[in-house]
Amino acid sequence: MSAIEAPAQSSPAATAWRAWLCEHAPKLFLFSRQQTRTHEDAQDVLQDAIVKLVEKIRAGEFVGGQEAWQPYLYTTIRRLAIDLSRKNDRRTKRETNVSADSEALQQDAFHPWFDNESGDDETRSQLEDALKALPGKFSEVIIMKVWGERTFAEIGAAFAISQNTAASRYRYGLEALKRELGTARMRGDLSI
Amino acid sequence: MSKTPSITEQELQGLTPCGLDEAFLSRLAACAEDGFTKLSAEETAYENSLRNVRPRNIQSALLETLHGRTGDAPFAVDEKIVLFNKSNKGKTADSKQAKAPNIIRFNLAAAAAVALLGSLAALMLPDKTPSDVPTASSETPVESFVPLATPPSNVAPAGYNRTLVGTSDEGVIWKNETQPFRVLRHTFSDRITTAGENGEPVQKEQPHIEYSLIPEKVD
Repeated sequence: MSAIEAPAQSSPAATAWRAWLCEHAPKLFLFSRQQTRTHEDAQDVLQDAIVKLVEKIRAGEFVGGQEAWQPYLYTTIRRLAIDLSRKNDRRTKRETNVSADSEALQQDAFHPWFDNESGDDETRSQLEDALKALPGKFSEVIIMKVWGERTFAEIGAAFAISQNTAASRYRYGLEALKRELGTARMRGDLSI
Repeated sequence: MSKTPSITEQELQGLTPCGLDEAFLSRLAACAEDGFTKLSAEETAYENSLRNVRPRNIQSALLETLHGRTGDAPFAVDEKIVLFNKSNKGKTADSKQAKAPNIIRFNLAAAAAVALLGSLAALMLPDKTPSDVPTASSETPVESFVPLATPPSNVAPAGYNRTLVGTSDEGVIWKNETQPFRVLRHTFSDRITTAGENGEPVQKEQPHIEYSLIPEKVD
């Protein structure tokens, strides 16, 4: 029998990390996707955010337990997405690459934001379109609240706004979303 | 200059700000009562219906990448339980063999210490075993050698003195693969004075060894 131990991946911590990622990464990725222009940017941002979290944990600098990871990641994803957006803006100006956004939209068709347990592609697609049509300050709150299951206090902390402002944006956004999806429902396109 | 307001100012004072609409007033009231962040039943129901549409699972390649990034980071289950990865980076069979002598030495030393503690306890406590059974100890000083016979029950301890003779560094051991400890060996000399049957003092001296573990810093 070899004296070399099994790979670290089989250790309790590695197993726990995988389970945690399987549960929470889809929600975080949805938020990352909403915050960035392209699927690839969303992947990069989520990955960088995870790396930052892990580095802090490893250095013993992270304040709080596991319950504080998600709020930290949402805040970090947003910050990184803003930084990336600024960088992309500068590059776009330099390269006058006007077709970048339309290419991103075409790519989105291959990377839908949602799965639907009922297999209703129309619902999934309508919801994604409705969220994209909302002003970002509303859709980001809705995504964090509905799918991230964060409190208004946590959302407020992530966006540097009061929890009442977060609740207000949520209600405005929800109303707008309801109107948009209501139209689709009346057309018979939607199951929610 | 006259301080009487002009007609224009009087007209302006006659104007009043528009009233707030009912919805906005309700919202302000809810904020003041700290209830604005509580969702109504209808809002909660709609939220739940949206939640039924789940975010798409991330691609397995991305999951693997993210999992790889977690590396050897500990995973905090809660405040008290933290899972660690096995730190197998650069750990080879050689390095494990190199650690083995320390562990063996520590185990032997610990066993010896336990044996000595047991013999000391036998000295201190009255026993019904025959009094002529000597207790062998290789570390018992020759000069002050007194057969470590179990004292008869009518011999009462009259004094006890412990002196630190020396401390030595026994090296580093690893416990549970994550934390190294430096092993320090402390050698004491225990001197026990008892009163004999005729009241004469009888002194017994015996070495006593203790080990202490001090956590070592690691990179």
